[in-house]
Amino acid sequence: MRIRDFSIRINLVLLILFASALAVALASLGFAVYERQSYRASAVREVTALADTVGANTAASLAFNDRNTAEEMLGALATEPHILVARLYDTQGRIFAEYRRAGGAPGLPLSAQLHDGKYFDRNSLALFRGVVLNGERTGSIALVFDLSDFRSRLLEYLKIAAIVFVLSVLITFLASLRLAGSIGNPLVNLAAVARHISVDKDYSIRARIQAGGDTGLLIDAFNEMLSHIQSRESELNNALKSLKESEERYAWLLAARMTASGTGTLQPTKSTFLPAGTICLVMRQAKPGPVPNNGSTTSTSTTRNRYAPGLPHIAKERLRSSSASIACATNLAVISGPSVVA
Amino acid sequence: MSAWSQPPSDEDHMKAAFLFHFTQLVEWPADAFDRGGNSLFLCTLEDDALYDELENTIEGKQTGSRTIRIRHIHFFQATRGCNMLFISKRESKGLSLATFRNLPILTVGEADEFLSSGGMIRLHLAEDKIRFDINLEAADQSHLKISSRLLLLATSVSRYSGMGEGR
Repeated sequence: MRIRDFSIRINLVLLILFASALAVALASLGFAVYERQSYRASAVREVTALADTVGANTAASLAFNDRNTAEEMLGALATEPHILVARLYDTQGRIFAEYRRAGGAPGLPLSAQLHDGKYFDRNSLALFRGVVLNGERTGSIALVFDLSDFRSRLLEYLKIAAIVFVLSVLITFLASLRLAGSIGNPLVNLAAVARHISVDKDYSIRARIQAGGDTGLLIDAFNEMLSHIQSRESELNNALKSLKESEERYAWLLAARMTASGTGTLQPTKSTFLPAGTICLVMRQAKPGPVPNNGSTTSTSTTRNRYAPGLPHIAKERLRSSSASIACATNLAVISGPSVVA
Repeated sequence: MSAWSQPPSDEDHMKAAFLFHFTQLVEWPADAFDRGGNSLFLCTLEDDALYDELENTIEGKQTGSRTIRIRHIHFFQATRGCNMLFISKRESKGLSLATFRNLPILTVGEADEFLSSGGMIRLHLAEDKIRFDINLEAADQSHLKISSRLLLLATSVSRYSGMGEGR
């Protein structure tokens, strides 16, 4: 009983917890993806602005083939901790000047043949842009931006997500206990009533449970069904009772008649009423009777089966002797006839 | 034949590019241009390899809102209509740049004394690379504004006033 009582509630609690955990996990995943996108978008914006600034400053250097000033300009990128590599290419795609962050990871390998645009690596972003001097392209610039910061940011984010996850599961658990009770309890109680009825066969019990919705309908239908069963049972009992009474009356009457006519005695070995096949009748004939198919006048005891084929004739015979015998014989035929023939 | 008559070299190519980029980074006064100001005339004195290079590479090129036209002049005095004048090392001998003082003509030369004699930009070779010096005073007198980006790339920026001493 206890285990049953628990199981539906536990199932409900587990269901709610699972749904809540799934929702939080999906939301966290969605936010993580969004976070990654927005981080990358802001990285692209930042690196583009830097490339444009540095490009504007180095455009003339490229135009006048002045490597030293170009490298000086690129060296100014040392104040930008996220720039791993900066490169200038001339219009033929040859490396013109380069800057590498001291101690920085190599990042995305830069190829001089890459076209303008942005290229994402696992941990870096490479941006290629044209360098333009007064509308005239004098070369191109490539910047490699370090994205590994995002990993630490993601880690921070994961910590927060884990805390939110645990908290939400905890709160959901507490809330679901109440919720599971309000849904599960009526069903648990109904199950208890049903079990009680099936054990005790007491159909007068009614489920007195307050519930709405489908559970309420179920309980009402259950009670209605119980009422039907109860009324049918009492009808059946009444019929059984009256049938018993009529059988007893019949047995008594038959015995009384047979004794009165003196043709024999009919002794029901059992007073049970039905079916006909269960009745074992022992018929004793005191005098030779006009039984045509048998011919025997002195048989003292026969089973019903032996005499069975002759029963209609007995009925005819009894027809002549007395009115009481007619009733009995007819009854007998009706009761035993079909099963005897079968 | 002189060295200048050789087919266009890398050096000539670079010089042509430099001249073109100078036009991008120098601002002329508004009255420096005739005929609506749609053309910028770059004049050379000698009909040499550099002239061919200029004709082939930057003739007709857009610089800002103007189109570059290369013009070959035979006389040093026939500079009317020129916005920019290139004077090679050979031609600069015995020439006086005083003629151009206060005229809005960007003078570019190669002679060692080009700046001190009143020229504005002097090209020279340093470690096999073309570099340039600027005489800001001469440019100022002609009301030419030289971009700070160009000044930044100059090997040296000086202020020679005409034939006088520097700085």
